[in-house]
Amino acid sequence: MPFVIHQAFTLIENGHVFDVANTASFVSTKKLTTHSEYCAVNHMKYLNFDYSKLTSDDSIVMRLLQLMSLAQFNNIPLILNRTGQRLFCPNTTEPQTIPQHFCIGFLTSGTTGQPKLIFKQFESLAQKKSTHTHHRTKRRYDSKWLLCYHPFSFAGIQVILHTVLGGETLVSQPMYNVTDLALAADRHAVNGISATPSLFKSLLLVWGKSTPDLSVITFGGEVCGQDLLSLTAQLFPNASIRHIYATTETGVIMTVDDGLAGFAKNTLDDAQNGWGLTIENEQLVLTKDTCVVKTGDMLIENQARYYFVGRIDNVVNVGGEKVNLEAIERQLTSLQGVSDACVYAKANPITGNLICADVVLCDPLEHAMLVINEWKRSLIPAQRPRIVKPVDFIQLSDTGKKIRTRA
Amino acid sequence: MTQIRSIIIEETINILKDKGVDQQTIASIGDETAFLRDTDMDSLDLATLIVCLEMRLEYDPFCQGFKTFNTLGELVDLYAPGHVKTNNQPIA
Repeated sequence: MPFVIHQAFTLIENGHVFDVANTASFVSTKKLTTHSEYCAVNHMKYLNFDYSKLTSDDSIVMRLLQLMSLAQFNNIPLILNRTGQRLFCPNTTEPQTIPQHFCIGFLTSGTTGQPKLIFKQFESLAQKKSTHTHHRTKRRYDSKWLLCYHPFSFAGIQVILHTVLGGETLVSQPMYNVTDLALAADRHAVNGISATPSLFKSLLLVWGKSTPDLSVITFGGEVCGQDLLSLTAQLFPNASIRHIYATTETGVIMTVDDGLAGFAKNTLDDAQNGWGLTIENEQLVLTKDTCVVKTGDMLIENQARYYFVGRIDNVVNVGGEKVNLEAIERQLTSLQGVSDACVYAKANPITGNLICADVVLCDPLEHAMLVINEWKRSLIPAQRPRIVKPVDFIQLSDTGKKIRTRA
Repeated sequence: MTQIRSIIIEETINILKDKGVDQQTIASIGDETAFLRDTDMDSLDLATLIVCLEMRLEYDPFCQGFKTFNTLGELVDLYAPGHVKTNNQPIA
C-alpha cells in the first residue's frame, strides 16, 4: 500500500499538536459504511470529504489523513470536495464512472464553469524526495512547513504528503485569514513556506519588518515575477527560493531555482516529468503520448528565457481591444507607493469589460494617486483602470489566487 | 429621484474632470445632455459611469438586458422608482 508512514511526523493543527508515529494511528475500527463521508451511488463506492460541511474547529488535515488510510484499506477513491458541490446525479442517463480503486479525486480550480473532478494515483502525488531536497538548509527533521494552500487542492496535498511522508512538521490553520497564518508562522517558528505569490505578498505585509527565519520558500500556482523573487532573496538571504510550474492535470512540470523568473529556453528541449513542452499561439502546451493539455498559460520569449505573462482567461475584451490584466497589474505594482494590487475586469453592457483595480498603498493616498494617474496616461484608453480603489488587503480566492473577473 | 439625478450628475462630472473638460461644459451638464454628442465622453467613459453608478447605488438597470439611452435624463429614468434593486429592495 503506497500510503504508509515510515517516520514519525508532527501535525500542529489549530494549535493542537499531533505527534504521529505510524500509519496505525489512522486506522479506524469503525465499519466503512458508518463513516459519514462514505457514499455509494449507482454501484460507485467512494469517500466524499465535503469541505462545505467543515468548521474552523475541525482537525481537517488529521481527518484527511484518516480518510486517506480508510480509502486505501478499502481500495476506493477519496474525493476532496473543495466546493461541497454535488458530484453525481443519480437520475441521469449519462454513464458515470469513477475509478474502482484507491486514488484521490480533486476538483480543479477552473475559472469557467463548474470545477471538474479529476483523479490522481497516490504515487503521483507523493513527490520524489529529490525534488524537494533542501539545499543549504536545516536537516529534514527540523523542517517545519506552514500550509498555505487549500488542503483539498493539488498543491495543498503535495505539501501535506511531503511533510507527512518525510517525517517533518506541518503547521496547519485551515480556514485561515492571512493575519492568522502570518501569526501562526511566528508562533510556531516555521522555516518552510510553499505558497502562491499573492499569498506570500500578503504575509509579507502582515509581518512587516519582523519576518520569520525561513530556510525554504517555494512559489507556485501563479506567475512568479522577478520583483517578488528579488525582494524575497533580499528579505531572506539564507533561504533556498524556487518557483514551481504545475497543473492539476499533469502534476509538477518544472522547478526553477536559479533566482530568475520564467525558465531557460532549453527546458523545451527535453521532456519534463514525462511531458513534452511546446508553444502554440503563445500558450504552453503539454503532451504525453496521446494526451495533450492546452494549459492556457501564455509565454513570451526574451533572450535565453521564456516568461509567463498570464493566463488566457485573464486577457479580456474591452470595447474590442484585448487587455492582459496580469500585465497591467505588474506595471501597477511596480509603481512607487503601490505595495500590491489586483487588476480585474468588471462586466458592463457597453464595452463588455472595464478595467478596475484594487490597490494596497504604502505612500499617502494623494501622492500615490498622482503617481497612478500619471502612469494611467501612458496606457491606451482600453487598458486604463477606470476605478482604482485603495484597500487594506487584496482578497484572494480559496486557492490563494487573485480574483480577476467580476460580474 | 432627485437624489439619483444628483448622484448621476456628480459621477458624470467626476469623469469629465478627469478628462480635463473645461468648466463651461461641466456647468452645462443637465437632463438634456447627450453623453456622446455633447461631451467628450466615449464608450469607455460611459461604461465607467455605469460601473460607478452600479457600485454606488448597488443597482444595475441593465441586468436583464441592455436598454438604450442617449441623454442624462434618460439614464436617470432607468434608475427610477419601481425598478427593483439588485438585492430586491426598491430604490425609493
